Amino acid sequence: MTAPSYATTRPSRTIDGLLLAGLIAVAAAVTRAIWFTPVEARQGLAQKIFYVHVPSAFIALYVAFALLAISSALYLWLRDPRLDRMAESAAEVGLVYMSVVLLTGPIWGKTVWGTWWTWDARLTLTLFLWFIVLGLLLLRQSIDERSMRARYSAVLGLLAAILVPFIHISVYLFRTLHPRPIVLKPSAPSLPGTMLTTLLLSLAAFLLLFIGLMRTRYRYATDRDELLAVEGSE
Amino acid sequence: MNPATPDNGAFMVAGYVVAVVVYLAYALLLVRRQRALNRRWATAPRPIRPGAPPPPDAAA
Repeated sequence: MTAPSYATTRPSRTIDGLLLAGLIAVAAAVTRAIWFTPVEARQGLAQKIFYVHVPSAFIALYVAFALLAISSALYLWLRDPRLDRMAESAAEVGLVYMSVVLLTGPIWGKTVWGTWWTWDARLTLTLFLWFIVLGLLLLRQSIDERSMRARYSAVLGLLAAILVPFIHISVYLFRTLHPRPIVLKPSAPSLPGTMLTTLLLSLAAFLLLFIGLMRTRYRYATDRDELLAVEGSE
Repeated sequence: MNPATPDNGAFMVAGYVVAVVVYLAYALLLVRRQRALNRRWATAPRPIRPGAPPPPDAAA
């Protein structure tokens, strides 16, 4: 007689409280940016894309892909599956943030540069990074064996993150249409106080959203791996 | 508004709409994936937990 079976693990909630809080915070930040922040005199209303574009870029490059690199490096050292799940989640959420950067940038660029896109160093390297991270996620889909999948994607994750410092300094190394940083620079931020406050609030809101998305994505990965183990697929 | 300031509010709206759509779509995708996973959990074969009481249908 086979042993009866019953549940040992309860799957996670579908909607995370931090995710909801992040979405509400972003809605509040967008409201402040559109209605309660002055219009830039030379660029007009389109400059307000700045409050979505810059926080998304900052979090994708310096939070998500940094987390991807650290988790990947630690996975190669410790071989802990939790680190692989963290790297996988950071890559996916980072790709979403980077997609927003690559979509909002050209809309803003069209109004101030007169062109949607230009193949300069900053934009091209950012697009390359987007493709590498997309490739990492597709690679994960194509490998069934868990440790091999984790090892290969950790190596690719580390290689992707190497592009981040190059993207940051590309505006100093090459002639480019993209402006140099006005906040993340050695001297004081060259931005009026109200605009700087809105930028920092947007950054905090998008960071909260990132944490909510990461937590939801990581829990999904954990539940999925436990389910696969229970089903005997892995 | 300063008369020299360009009238490009449509670009601002487009930028914000694109960003909001991408973030909301991804959040909804995560929720739907978790729901689908929870449904799979409901029908998955489950291992025995040591010391736990048997389920009601164990006698059958």
